[in-house]
Amino acid sequence: MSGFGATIGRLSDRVNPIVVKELRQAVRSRIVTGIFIFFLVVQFAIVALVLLLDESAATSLSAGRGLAAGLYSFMMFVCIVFVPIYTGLRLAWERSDTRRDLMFATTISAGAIIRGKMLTAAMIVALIYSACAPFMVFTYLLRGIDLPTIFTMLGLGALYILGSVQFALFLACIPTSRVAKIFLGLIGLGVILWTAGSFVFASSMMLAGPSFFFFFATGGPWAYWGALAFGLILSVLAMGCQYFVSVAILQPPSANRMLPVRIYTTAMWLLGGAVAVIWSVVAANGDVIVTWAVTSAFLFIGALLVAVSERETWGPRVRRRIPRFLPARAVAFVFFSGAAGGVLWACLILGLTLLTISLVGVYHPTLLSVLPGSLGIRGGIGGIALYGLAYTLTAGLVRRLLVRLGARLQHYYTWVLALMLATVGSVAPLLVFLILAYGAGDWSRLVLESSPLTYLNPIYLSEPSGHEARLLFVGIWAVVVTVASVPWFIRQVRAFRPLRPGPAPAPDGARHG
Amino acid sequence: MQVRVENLTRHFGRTRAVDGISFAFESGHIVGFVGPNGAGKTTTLRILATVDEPTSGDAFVDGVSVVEDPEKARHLVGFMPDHVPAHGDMTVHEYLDFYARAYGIRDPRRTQIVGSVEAFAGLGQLRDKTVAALSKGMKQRVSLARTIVHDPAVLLLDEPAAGLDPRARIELRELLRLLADQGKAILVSSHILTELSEICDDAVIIERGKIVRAGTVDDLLTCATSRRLVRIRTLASLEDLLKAVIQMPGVENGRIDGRYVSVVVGGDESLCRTLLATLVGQGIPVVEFTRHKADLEDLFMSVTKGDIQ
Repeated sequence: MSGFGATIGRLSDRVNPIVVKELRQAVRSRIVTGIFIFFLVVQFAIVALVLLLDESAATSLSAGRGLAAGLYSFMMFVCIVFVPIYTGLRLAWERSDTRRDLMFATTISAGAIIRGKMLTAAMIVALIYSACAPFMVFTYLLRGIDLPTIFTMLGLGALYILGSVQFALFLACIPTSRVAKIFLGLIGLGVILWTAGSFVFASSMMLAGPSFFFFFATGGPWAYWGALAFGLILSVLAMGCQYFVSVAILQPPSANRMLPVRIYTTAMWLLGGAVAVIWSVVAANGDVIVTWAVTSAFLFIGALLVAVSERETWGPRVRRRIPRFLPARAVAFVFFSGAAGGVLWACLILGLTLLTISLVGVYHPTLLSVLPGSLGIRGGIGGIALYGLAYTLTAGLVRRLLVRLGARLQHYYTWVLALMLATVGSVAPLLVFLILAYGAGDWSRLVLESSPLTYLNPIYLSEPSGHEARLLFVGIWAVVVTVASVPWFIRQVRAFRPLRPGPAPAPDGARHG
Repeated sequence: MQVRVENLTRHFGRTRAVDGISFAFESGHIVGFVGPNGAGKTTTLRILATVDEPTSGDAFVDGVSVVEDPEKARHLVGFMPDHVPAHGDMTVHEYLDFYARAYGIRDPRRTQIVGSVEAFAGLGQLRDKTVAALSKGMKQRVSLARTIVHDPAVLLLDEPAAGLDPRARIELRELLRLLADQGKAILVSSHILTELSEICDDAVIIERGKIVRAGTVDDLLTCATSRRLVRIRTLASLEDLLKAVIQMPGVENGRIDGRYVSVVVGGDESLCRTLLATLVGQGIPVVEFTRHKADLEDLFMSVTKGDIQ
């Protein structure tokens, strides 16, 4: 018995403390218990009503399928809405600025906190599933549906719920004021509700439809499994990205928080690119590579915004890890936390994305005929990337100018400045064109072309005329701000040096100062 | 083991909650951190506990920077905030067990430690009660137990005696003395200055984010007692006594205070002796002559203006 106790003790030690705490609280939570009982009651009622009122239930060969779709829709909708909100709200409350939970002052790591929250959410989902499983399996007895279908859909649903939970945790981690948190929470709720509706509709259609393969079967079973695998991989990669970003946010500012994020994102981009190129070439269809390239462009423009808002100096904690070997230090500069390194990293990836697309265009020109006119996919991505770079670096320049003039604008607000500039730069040309210059000649057209919003306008995308002018304009702008940012960049390259080992600081002689 | 605060600053917008303070204290010492509301005490403690980050400056716990290496510093620091524990839906035992786990303490040591801190804080009988169901005093004990569960070398206690009844305060005082005797460095912020003066070895007085006085309690009180308050009772008329005493050398001020005449004497004890001898020599029937000893409260009132930010 003592051996059993010791084994249990060892197992208990291995469990994430957050999971232990959260589950203890969940067991006592009236909300969790209430939802659990609510599930049992509603599902029992649904099954009972169907059996009592539907006279064809005993004879129909598809009664099980319809009932399964109904039960599944109900369960998924509640799970996708309840579990992420419950988990996200708890973390947001614990991260409150005024009353930050003391677990953040313990030695538990940021990663363990996020993993613990995720694992707890997974266990709550498992608890709810356990309440629903008997009813779902019962639908099998009513015929029209097979067990693999039920389990596959339940698995997909669980993955989708956990994706929503990770999204909610990511939002809850963002350090901001209470008002902004409420605003973020509402946006998150909107996104979750919207995606929950879409997912539940699509999945219940799959369950209730004439065939499980109906929606994907047109290209044969491989088309279905391929699309499913692609969707799953994308979901898991996106969850991983949100996980690393959440952990980075929870870590102290002195930590090298961006290193894991950049390594993961680079690996994700590389893997995605390799899969996209191979898929596109083998299937002779450019949709996948174009999707990868456009997604990468927007992702790394976002990375530019984050990077330019990062630290411009390094404390001893990061400097202790800077390699002494120069080539290794150059790589570290790109991947470690830091504004200039981050901008360089995002630019490199954007450039390599363009290069990949160009090489695919050279060797397989038929694959890249997605965008009409002379714009092409390379021009579109290049233009968007140049706009991202130009606005980001301009915001950095403006912030440094304002600081020199005496403004107290911290570096971590540079992204806000960049977004403000981008908003003005996007909307102002359209307004100027509409109010003053409509029909006034070619120069008015140029005013309009300077707005990056034109890249989102299919009418302009289909017109080849202004594309070169727009690229020229944004290209010159990006070069000018890049040149102007060179001193800022060099300053950071020079400061990125390993800490020299020296004597420990002498203790303060004065008792009180 | 030394805790060193160096030029610590914390701004909230335009408000300088902590404005470049520096002080140090060592293990085995209890340091009173005193100041009016909004002086920056809690902010300083939160920074030391790595719950908040400074705008500039740093603090070192045994040479470990709370800014650069907060994860390392957390091993060394236990923080008891001024609010009651969150997670009121957990039992006392579960609550302490969670924090022991969060500090990476493994079984069977964890079971022993949690049991011993429960016993130390007098929570043995309450271990299965939920935290929310406890009285304020008991919650404070739970909070203290959580603070010491990982056996930190430094304890940061923010208003630990607030809301406690006299018995609980005395018990808390004894617990703190015991912890200091075990070699812990303890920084206690409190408004109850009489409590602090009885247990603190050192004191740091802070106002508007700046230190206005710091040093050992004895040194601070010695400085504060350069002016002495003397209370005299006589069988004669109090008005006559006041008239006579106010004209004597060294007496700066005086007033009738109930059955006493209270006078402020600007000088050392020899001046008090001269004053008493003169009064007796003049035939005034003095029946009581008491020097009122200054305490932290007097010091606090004399060096702070009560300004808040």
